[in-house]
Amino acid sequence: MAVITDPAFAPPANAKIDAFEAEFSEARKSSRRAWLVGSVLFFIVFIVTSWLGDFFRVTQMTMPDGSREWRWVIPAGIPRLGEFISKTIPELHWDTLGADIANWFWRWQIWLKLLFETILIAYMATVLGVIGGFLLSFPAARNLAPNKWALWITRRYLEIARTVPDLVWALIFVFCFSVGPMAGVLAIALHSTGALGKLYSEVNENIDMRPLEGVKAAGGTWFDQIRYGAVPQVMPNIISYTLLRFEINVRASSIIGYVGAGGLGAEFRVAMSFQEYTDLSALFVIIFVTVMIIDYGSEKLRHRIIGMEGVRA
Amino acid sequence: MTPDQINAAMKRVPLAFRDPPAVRLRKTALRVFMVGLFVYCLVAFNFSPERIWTGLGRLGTVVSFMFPPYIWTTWAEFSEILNGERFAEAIQ
Repeated sequence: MAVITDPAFAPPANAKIDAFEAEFSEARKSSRRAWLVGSVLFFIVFIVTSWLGDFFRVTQMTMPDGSREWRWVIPAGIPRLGEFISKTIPELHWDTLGADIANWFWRWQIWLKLLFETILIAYMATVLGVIGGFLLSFPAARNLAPNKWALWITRRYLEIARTVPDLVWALIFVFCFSVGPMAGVLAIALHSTGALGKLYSEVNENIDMRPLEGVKAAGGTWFDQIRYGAVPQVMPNIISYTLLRFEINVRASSIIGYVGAGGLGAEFRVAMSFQEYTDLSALFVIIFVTVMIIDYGSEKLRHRIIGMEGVRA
Repeated sequence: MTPDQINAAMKRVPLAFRDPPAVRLRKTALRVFMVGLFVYCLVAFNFSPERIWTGLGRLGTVVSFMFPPYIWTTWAEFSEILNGERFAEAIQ
């Protein structure tokens, strides 16, 4: 390598570089110090909150041999979780597999009937929730709301509807409408109205406003603007959110029976109270397979619908 | 665009204005199935107007329980207790 000796190409005055180096190292040091202080503070907060959350609690436990010992809660409790899960796993032997599975799913006729009811609850709740959420999403969108108070009222209503969990709505509605699937339908429908209305209104806020202006310029009313300007733009998103919500509602309706609102949830309660733990795993398998099928089907359906839209456009 | 022109265009390229019959049939069948399933659910789950009406009444009761009860705040209301009649009623 040739050494450059021409003064025109020599490095600039050293004083400037030194000043820059000093400044740079000072900045590095201060950023490292800030990072260190930040992580120490974070670690202290982490330890304090886990202490508040009883992570370091030491308590008396019954040992497997019957004696009482002082133990930390977490390391002593985690094996218990494994114990519980191992209780739910049925005994299956290769030679008697058919009989074992029949024994595992011994209430399959009742469960199948309740699964059908669960899916119908989810379907009905989704239909009602979609109608409510769709209608309210337009006044709840900042760019489409006809006036301020309509925006305020619909937003607060949607917030109240989705703040209360569907299990709590089910508890309230079981008191009001008596035990049965109707209470469950109304509970899940109300909760999904709130959740879907929020999602739909956010879709509405992202649309292109020019088609609406075109409809307005042609003399359209507010309803005409929504119908011919906004709805065609938001339809694909609404369909995909709806299919997602149906899957969520199937899972929700399989648990609300726990408070008496119809569906498979009541069987969970029965299995827990009779300590039939293998029933729990059987019910879990049933719901898991159902959700898997719905997930697969809704993906196919969505792609089909989006594909059709693409062909038409 | 006069109506005649629109009609002529509709006659020339009908598929630009509406779906082919097979697609229309499928869409109608889907809608009928969805509405039918919904109506079946309404019947199977015992939805009825009077059930909803009584339920709404009870919902009002539940909501009213969620507010704190009315407590006397002025001496005028409290002093009623010292009234002989009210006191006699209370200890009966």
